[in-house]
Amino acid sequence: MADAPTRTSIDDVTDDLLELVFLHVPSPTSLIRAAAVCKPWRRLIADARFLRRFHMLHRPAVAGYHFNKPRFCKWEKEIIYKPAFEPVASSTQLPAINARHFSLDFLSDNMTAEFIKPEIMDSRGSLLLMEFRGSNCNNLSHDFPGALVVCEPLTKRYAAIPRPWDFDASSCQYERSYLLDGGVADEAGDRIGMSNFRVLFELNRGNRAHATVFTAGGDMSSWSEKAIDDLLPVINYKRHVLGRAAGSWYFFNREHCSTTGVVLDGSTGEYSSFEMPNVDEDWSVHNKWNHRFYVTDDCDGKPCILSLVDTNLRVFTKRGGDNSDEWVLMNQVTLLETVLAQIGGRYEPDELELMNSCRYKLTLSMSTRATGFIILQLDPYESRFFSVDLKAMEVKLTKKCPGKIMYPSELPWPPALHTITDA
Amino acid sequence: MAAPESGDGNNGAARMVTLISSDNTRFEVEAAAASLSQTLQLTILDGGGGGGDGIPLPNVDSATLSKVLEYCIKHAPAAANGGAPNATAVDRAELERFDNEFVNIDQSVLYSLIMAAHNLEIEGLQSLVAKKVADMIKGKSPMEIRRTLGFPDPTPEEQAEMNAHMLEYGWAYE
Repeated sequence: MADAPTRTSIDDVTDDLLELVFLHVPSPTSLIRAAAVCKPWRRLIADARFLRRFHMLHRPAVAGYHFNKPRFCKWEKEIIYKPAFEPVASSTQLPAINARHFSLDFLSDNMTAEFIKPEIMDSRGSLLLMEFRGSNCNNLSHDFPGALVVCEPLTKRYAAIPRPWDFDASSCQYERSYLLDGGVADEAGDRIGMSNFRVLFELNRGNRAHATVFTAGGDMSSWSEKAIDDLLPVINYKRHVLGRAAGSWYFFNREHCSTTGVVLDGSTGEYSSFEMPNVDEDWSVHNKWNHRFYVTDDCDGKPCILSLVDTNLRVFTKRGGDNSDEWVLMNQVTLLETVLAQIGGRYEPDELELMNSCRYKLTLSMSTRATGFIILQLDPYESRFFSVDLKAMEVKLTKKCPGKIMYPSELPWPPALHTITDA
Repeated sequence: MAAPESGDGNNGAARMVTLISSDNTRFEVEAAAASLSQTLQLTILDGGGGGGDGIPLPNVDSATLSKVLEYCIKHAPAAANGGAPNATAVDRAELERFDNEFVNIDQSVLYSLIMAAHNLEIEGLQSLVAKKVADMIKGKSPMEIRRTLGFPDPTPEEQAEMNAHMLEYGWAYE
């Protein structure tokens, strides 16, 4: 045998093989730490081609959820929202990240100081879309917001979105805004980032619904517009936002006695119609003012439609995967018993019967839609909240009321490493 | 043991090939095991490596080659089954146990192994070692990674860069 060969060190490993090692690193946070080790590593990791490959192998990691935390303001007799954040629990794929890194305090500067009402409108990738309104426009939600901002909380970057160039408050009503993927993938293969996103505004001009799209691109930002008033059901103020799932928004217009809804694809910015689940009952229940349909992500991130009538909850998902248009009943549960058991059975049976039979019937209302679970509020006797796991249909008493929708926030990708490669 | 290949068998025994390391050590191994290497497979299909000739591997020393062959011999039966679609759970668990133990070795051997696996185009071995090194990086701070992987102490300039990076990506360090 030969003498002991010279010891091979990590320095001897070629770039190709180091790349292979980095592709096996399980989380973006570990990858970012590796990028700090030395300049050659940083150069390899910051390479757009490498970042694209890493991104294809590792699903984007949801770090937590932003939401508009409601607080009833006695003096103004209205609900005031305060943006909040809840990180996901630590996993092998991603260690938990401290919530303070997702604070939106960096937005409290000159631009937004005069507007006291911030509200999260949408999220996409690592970005948030936020509206800011002043104190004196309580009833003017059809006005364009005082400020509209797209931001990336983790990197504390933001961009103010201008008002559509031809927005005229006297003839134009603002409905809502949505965050869309950018028009083309960037060099790291991503469709969403601070330099690559679109914002869609739904506006009503006269009686015609318009979608106006702002495409970010630094000095090259652009606008486009299309009429959406030929959509059925019609996009108007009577439309109900069912919720958000898999990055798309679902709507239903209770004005029409039809079973068709509309979905806005958050990736393409296109609207299309879809058939609501086939519920075996009188549709008038759902068409009355207390419509009871909602949309959210199931625990696998796939869209599901929920129907909530009194204390009966049903969960519908698409049977044949994404290609099938048919919603199928997956779970059905009557929550009354469970809910009453949870609050300690403080009512006698006859008392209950009376309550349930009279006009102050016990009902559950939707409080929060989140990924894989919802939070319901018991009305009218008890302002108690219950979370329902959409897979196991497990019901738990909870103190939390994290607003209507919990907006998922992913880690920024690519991780903007170019800022340090040439440091 | 692998079944004899038709027309090539020496009295029913599996066909053997000889590999020669950079330090001139000769290894005799079944063709089926050596063929886990895409590079060697071509040579062997051309009839090389038999008899007294041997296939010279000028980039691989004997210590590394013996380790590579240990892997190939263990994995050859499964590979012969075409990725082992009908392998039993026990077989798979045994291979997994072997793999875990196999990479539990000195770092310098790991680095030699991954480079040899790359040269010889043994994809499974290459990924196995890459994953092992990635596991050594996972969850550590940059300084811990440097120490674990035997980097020299950082220069003041490198230290300053590391600090700046940790400041910028504070969220990734908790």
